[in-house]
Amino acid sequence: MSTSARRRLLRDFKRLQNDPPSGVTGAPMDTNIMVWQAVIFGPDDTPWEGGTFKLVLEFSEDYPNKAPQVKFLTKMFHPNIYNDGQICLDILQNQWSPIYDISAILTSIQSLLCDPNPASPANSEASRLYNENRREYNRRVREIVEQSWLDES
Amino acid sequence: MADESQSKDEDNTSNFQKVQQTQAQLEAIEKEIRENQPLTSELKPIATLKAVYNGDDNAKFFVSGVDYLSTLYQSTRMTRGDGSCYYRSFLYSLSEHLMKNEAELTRITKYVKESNSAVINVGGYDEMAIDIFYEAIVEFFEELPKMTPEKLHEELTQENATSDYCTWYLRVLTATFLKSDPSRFLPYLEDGYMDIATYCQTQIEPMGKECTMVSVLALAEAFQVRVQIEYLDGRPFEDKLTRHEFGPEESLTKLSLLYRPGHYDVLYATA
Repeated sequence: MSTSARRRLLRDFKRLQNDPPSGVTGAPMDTNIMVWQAVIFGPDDTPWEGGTFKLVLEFSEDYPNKAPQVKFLTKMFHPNIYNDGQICLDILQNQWSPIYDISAILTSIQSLLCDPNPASPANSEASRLYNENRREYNRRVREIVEQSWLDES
Repeated sequence: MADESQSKDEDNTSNFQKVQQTQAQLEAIEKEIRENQPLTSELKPIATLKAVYNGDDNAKFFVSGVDYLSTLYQSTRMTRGDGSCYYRSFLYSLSEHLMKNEAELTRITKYVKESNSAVINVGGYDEMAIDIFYEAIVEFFEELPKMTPEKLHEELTQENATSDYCTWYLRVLTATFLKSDPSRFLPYLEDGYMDIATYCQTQIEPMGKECTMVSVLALAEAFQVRVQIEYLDGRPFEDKLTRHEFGPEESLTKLSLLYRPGHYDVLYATA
């Protein structure tokens, strides 16, 4: 089965190029198709607008039987994103299904930005502000957006 | 005011810690299951089932249920409790039956080989999402006539391999069958699901979701095999455990499975 992960990743890549979803991009590293870098753009008309958020996706030989490890490289402030960039999203954990390709994974993370899941807090401060002080929450998000422009690594 | 907000903050932090602890506990449980339960076990005597209930006064009907089962079955094969136990039990039992019946093997291999067009057109699945799984199950059924029971066991017990790939395709076939006749299956969906597609997406497609009654029925009919399930559920019974049967009665392939609350294993009838 070891080649099926690579085969599937190549096709995920082709699809991402031929039928690119709006607001996300991704590509494998030059040297290793099992590790991808991706960028999610903050959706328009939301506090996230204008942000460019970098992620890294690591696939095992068990993909698509198992979900990849996905992590933000850009510093984030979001109820479902841990300080180290790990994401609390059901389809990356217990709702994983091989139906999801890279486009679907990135698009789901993009919608999570504006639509946090209060049931699984990963950042307690973001979670609290989101529930109790939306104005301050939005201000903190704008800060993250501005930081994302500086972080041109 | 300040005190109130501080205490809320503490609540929030402890809630946050609780969620993290729960997550860690879940991971520990999953790890323990992986290490201690093979995907599918060797054959075990029926009496093995009793061990779990020994000394538990509340388990009277489980113990007498095992006694009843031992009058009909000689052994059981246990599957890992990871949410795919029904599909794994079905696949193992089906494979063993097909190794002994060439006509049924031919019929079922043909069904599986030809299933991809329905999966794409009726199930609405993207060819790209399913083909690795489709190829794995077709290859598995094509290899079956050449396999020894030992080889079959090895094949279906290996981690991240045939069993996982084939069981996910069984999920896809189950979902496709439900989608082929929505008006028939809609009334059976639990938890107030309003449409079959959402039900399949949340209850059938994810790897770790347990099989429900409607899926048991759909899978049996999709393969046109008879599935009989003994219910060892601890409820009082008189002379027999409850047995439910699914799929066409006249099918030449008859699978026997065991249900215990939240779990399925394979049963082997006394010869």
